[in-house]
Amino acid sequence: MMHNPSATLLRKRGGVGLTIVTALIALIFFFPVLIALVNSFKPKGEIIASALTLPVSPTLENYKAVIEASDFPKAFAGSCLVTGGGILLNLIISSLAGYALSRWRSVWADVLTLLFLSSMFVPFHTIMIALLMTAKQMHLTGHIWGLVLIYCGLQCPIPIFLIKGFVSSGSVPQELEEAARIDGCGTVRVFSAIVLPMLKPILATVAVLNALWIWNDYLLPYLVLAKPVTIPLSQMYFYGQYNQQWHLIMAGFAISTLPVVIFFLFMQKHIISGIAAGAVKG
Amino acid sequence: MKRTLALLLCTLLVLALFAGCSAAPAETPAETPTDTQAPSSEANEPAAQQTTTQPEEGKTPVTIHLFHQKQEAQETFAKIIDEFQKEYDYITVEQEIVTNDPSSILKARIATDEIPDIFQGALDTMDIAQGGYILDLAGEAFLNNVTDEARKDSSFTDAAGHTWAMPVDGSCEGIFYNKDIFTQYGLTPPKTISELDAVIETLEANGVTPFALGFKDSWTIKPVALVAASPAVYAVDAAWNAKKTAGETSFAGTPAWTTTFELLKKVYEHGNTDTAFDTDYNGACTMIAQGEAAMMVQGLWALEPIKSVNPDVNLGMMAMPVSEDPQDAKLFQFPDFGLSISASTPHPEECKLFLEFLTRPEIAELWCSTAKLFSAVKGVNVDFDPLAADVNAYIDAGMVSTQADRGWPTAFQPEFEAALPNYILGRAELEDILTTLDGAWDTAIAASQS
Amino acid sequence: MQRLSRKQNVTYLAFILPAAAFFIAFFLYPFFRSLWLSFTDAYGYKQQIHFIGLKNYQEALSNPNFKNALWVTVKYTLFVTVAANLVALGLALLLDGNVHFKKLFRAVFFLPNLMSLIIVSFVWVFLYGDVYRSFVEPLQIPKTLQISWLGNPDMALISMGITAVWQCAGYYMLIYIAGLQSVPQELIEAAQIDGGSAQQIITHIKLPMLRPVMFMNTLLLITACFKTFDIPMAMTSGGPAGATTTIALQIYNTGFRANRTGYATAQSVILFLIICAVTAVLYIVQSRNQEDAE
Repeated sequence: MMHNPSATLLRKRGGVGLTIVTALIALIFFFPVLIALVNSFKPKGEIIASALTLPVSPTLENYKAVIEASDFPKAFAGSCLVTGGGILLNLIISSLAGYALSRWRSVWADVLTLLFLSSMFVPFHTIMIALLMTAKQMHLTGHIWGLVLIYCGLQCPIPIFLIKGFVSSGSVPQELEEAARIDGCGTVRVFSAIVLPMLKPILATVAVLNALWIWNDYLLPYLVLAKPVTIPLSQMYFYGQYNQQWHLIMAGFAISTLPVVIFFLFMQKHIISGIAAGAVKG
Repeated sequence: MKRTLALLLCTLLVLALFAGCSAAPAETPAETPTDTQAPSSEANEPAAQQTTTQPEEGKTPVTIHLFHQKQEAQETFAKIIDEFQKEYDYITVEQEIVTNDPSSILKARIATDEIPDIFQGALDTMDIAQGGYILDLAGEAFLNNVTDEARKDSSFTDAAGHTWAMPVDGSCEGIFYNKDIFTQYGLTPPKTISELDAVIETLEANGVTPFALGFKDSWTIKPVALVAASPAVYAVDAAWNAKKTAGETSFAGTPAWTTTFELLKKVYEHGNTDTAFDTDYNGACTMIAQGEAAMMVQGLWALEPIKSVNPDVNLGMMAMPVSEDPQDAKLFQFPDFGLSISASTPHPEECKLFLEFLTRPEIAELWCSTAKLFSAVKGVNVDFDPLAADVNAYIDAGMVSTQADRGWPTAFQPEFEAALPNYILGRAELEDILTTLDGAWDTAIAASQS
Repeated sequence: MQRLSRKQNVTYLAFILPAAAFFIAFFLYPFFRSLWLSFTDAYGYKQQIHFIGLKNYQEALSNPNFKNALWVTVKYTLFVTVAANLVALGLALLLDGNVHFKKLFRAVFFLPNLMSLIIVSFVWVFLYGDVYRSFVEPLQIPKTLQISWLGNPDMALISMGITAVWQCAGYYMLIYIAGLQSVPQELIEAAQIDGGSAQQIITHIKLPMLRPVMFMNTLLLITACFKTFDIPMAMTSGGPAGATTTIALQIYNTGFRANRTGYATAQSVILFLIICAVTAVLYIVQSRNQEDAE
């Protein structure tokens, strides 16, 4: 193909122009976050005077007050425990089920897959009240472990489906499994020694998707725990108690968002591929 | 290596399952009675047995969880708890104040078996009692310290004589008005609707906003309706609720309800109408505190936030005129804050000690002077504010009405609350609204009785 | 051989068992229990429950508050689905073009999606309130021309929608970007050689290729919007005058404020049926379109 220098130049210039346009849009997008951050460093009086100016005497007092009043370390630990526990348990049961559903040649496997899938059409609100009653009867309310178990049941369909798809797509070569079987490995051994390590990429995707979901969820923990145990819950309680104290609420926004942003920076690749995978498959 | 990983995962699975199972029984013994017991009498038995044992030194430490929604009372409660803990050093009282949707949170707690030992059930008290979650206080000695009329109020004691909550204080809802502004324009508190119209006219002619409205917090609309409904409907016919339930009367067929809604609209139209739904409760309090509005319809609890903005504001309290007869302008007064004891608390005796403590005159005085409310305790009269004189004048003259929303079925409350903004914003005709309310009442009664 | 495969079947079943147990306990059983409750007069803390047939459904479908919530949810869904699709597609096309710092921009647009909706709502209440006031007051804009973002019943739903679009656009943008990346490069290059402008390439090649992705996003958005709860709960509590009370919030209020458990579940089953119907219709439309295209 002929190389056209002027076309390259044009593309480059277009690149700069487009970049500027994109930067402006990005700035608009980022504005709410920026405003929140700026105001989180202002004393109350300065916000009342104007919420648009930069802080005259920036202060960290707001952060100190929020961390103490909303017992942030405890809420953070609670969120970590719920999210971590939920994901771990979920990965275990979903990878087992996803693998088995993919390899098991039977009508029952299809029926079960369909059953798992059908749950995606059911909004949480439809099962909410009955779930709460059931959870109460099983004594799973009021403590974090109960919540973890409930998440596990509610959130396993999509991971199972993704893992099943991953295994079926040939990312786990069946020849390897058969070779191991000829060597005398049972299904359990085949799964733990050969399949599980190869599931790593999809497990990472599933973990990341579920992490964001659980971390930010409000209603289920609210109903099951009814106490400010996780970050969204503690922020909601805090908001109610410190109504109109925007300097504190914005500081609360900043510290409760920081963990997810850090998580994103480390997990960017998995999050982005996970969302694409989740959407295409789901 | 890989085998260990698999092993680890399996162990974790098993552990997690066990953690889920074992965590549950550990937390249940205290709560199991709730599931099996019949509401009142049995729940009271263990407590009655314990009454004989005297509290002694060296008892095992006990922690009582106190749940309420009175944010303005936070510090007062802290003080009272301090005093209490001095006297009973083995008891620790933890207070938790929830202001954001407290009724749903309390219900969620009950649903999750995490019932606070002592709680403010507010308007849900009777429903919660119906579920067997509240200890019956009837016959407790400390209830004798409380005035009979407060104790017998239908929101604390039911028809069968069970007392489900101990009244702590009484409050009222009415029209706060700025006395300085009234004096400036030569106005006196109106006693009839036409006098109210004249006051509004004078104020508006002088560029003063008559009413401060904070409807962004939707709960602030209801008091406006109640200060009218109480004298207009219930002072005239105390049995209105029973008649309505029996089908002998209706919202649409009671002109007083039409008056109530019209007064609500009057208040809305003669206030900061354009910004009413952008202004919240605190904003409205600020308006009246700073003289930006001459009047505000609210409960006595608004005194504290108003004074915190401007301690020098010269405020009065008056009743809502509901007719052309000055004798009808009665102040809506009612028992306000009540505390219930959980039927499943492991420490009923200690909880009762705390309630008993609240009925001691010196504690009741402390409570009322800081919370700026009337005490429900016999013989305790606190002039917590110059404004108390206005309220006392109404009480002394017998110009109070005590009934409004407290006898309503729970499921009717949200329907009523939804009807108010619909009406003032013109989203529905009054006739239709009253008909809807009639239907909603019947449905709510049927729902709670079937 | 047969024995071996039977043994294997048992093992597979054992593998599925834990997931199935959780799924049954926390989804399937509550789901059917919900269906049952919706035909009963279950109320708050009461133990006795009676079967009352379709009464709850009749009440829901004739209750003005529920009908209002239905209408509010439909309006909200339409607004957010269209707006979020447009914004997400625009951003995706922009980032798919010749732009520097792609990764950074992508991160900025996606950032809101990482945040809890509850906390996002607080920030926007602040923006619509104090920040807007600080913006308007120095300009001395007369009160009548100012926008009452959350106080005006006609405006509040749109304000809420803007918040939702801001929060979710980045997510759908990522899906669009993935779709754009799967457009064969040869097609685009061929068009460039034929002298096609960037605009022509977008309208004639990229957009048609994105159709399945657009369908996917629309489906995801519609189902998500119908379930909207966190934003109205945290921003407006459904007000003013029910103008932002979505079905999900109405269900919550009926169940936990009015204590009418049975009635609330009936409303929630109606929500489920609506979502099923909308999904089915979309699938039918999509498959017809595909047939036409082929």
